[in-house]
Amino acid sequence: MTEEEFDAFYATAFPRLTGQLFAFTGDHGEAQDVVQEAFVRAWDRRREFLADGAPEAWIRTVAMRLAVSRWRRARRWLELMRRDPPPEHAPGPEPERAVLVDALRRLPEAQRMAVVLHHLCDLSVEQVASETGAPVGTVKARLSRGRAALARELAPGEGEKEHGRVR
Amino acid sequence: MSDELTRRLRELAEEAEAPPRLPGAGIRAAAGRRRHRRRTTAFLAGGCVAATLAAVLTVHVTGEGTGHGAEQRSSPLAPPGPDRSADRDVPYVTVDLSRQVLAAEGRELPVSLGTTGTPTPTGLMTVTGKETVRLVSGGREASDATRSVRLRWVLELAPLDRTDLAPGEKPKPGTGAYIASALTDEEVAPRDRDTTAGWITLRPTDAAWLYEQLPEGAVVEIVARSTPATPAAPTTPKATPKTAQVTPTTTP
Repeated sequence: MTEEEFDAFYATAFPRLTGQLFAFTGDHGEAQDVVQEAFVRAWDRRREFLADGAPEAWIRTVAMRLAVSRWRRARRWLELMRRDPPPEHAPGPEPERAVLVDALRRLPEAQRMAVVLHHLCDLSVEQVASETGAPVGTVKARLSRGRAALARELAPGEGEKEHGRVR
Repeated sequence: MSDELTRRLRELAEEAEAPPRLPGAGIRAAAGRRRHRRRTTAFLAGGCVAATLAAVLTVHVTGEGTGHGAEQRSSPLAPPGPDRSADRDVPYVTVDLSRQVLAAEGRELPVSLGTTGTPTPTGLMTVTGKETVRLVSGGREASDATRSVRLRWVLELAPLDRTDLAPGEKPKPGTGAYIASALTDEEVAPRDRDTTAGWITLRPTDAAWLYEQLPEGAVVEIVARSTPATPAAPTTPKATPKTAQVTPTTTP
């Protein structure tokens, strides 16, 4: 990949990936940080990044792992130092979106990743399993529980109906 | 709920899309800086290990081999050990273009560098040739377009880029930078004024000292100035040595 090709790919994929990572992290600044960091690593590991055959998926995977790693560090720090939620780096979403962001944030990390990869990034259950290193059955369970939890938050009363159904 | 969830997630993601905060070149530069830091850390760590080993060996030798006067001296800046291939990326000399100094063996020597039009190449290089005297067309000064000059203590450097080299392949000569003595009747240019056609020139006494210290295969790192963007690959200085007219290499 030449410098020009990398720059073009970066300019095209960065906004899309930032949107996807926002759904995962619920924080604009965090999403931009991890996607940018993933691109820095991608340029340094061009061979690995291109050998994968799906450069955008490679970036997304790295960015998601970075986000998870940051959360874990931040959570330990917050547990020690303070009880307040982390500040927003950018203006929050519209009220309707805010409900979704809030509901996503409340999902356990593994369920949120499965939901975002499957429903937003269009990965099949098998692909999500491959990307997260979890068995297919576990991914199905995470998706089911994640959807049920979101349904309870977003449309109270529908959560039970969704439970156990995996697309 | 599945389709509805997908729709709402996509709307959320589209709304949150943001343009890059840095241009692509900035990302590549950040990756380059990080690679450089890793190499420097590895170099320092390797230096500590080498120093420890040297100390241990010295103690060992003096403890067992008393009376040995015939200590075989090697070049102080030569890579330690018989196998140089493993540590050939370890810089033994660093030229800092920002500070206009060449650092070697704890010494910092002032240097003159290339002008804006004929910048000094940067990057990790290796010494591929040494000549005590060399006739050069164009000179080392940007203004020396037609003049031919005799240079002393010339070290020829070639870029050391493992990604371009096959295993065992040596870097091509003449594709990197040159270090040489300033003319005998001149001093190194003031720090705020670059004068050469891409060459790195030292005071004659410093150049002679460095020439003795650096063996072929030694690594020289030329660190770019921090303000302009770092060139992706080393560039060749405009003053090309006339290899056909090289004067006999006699040590003065």
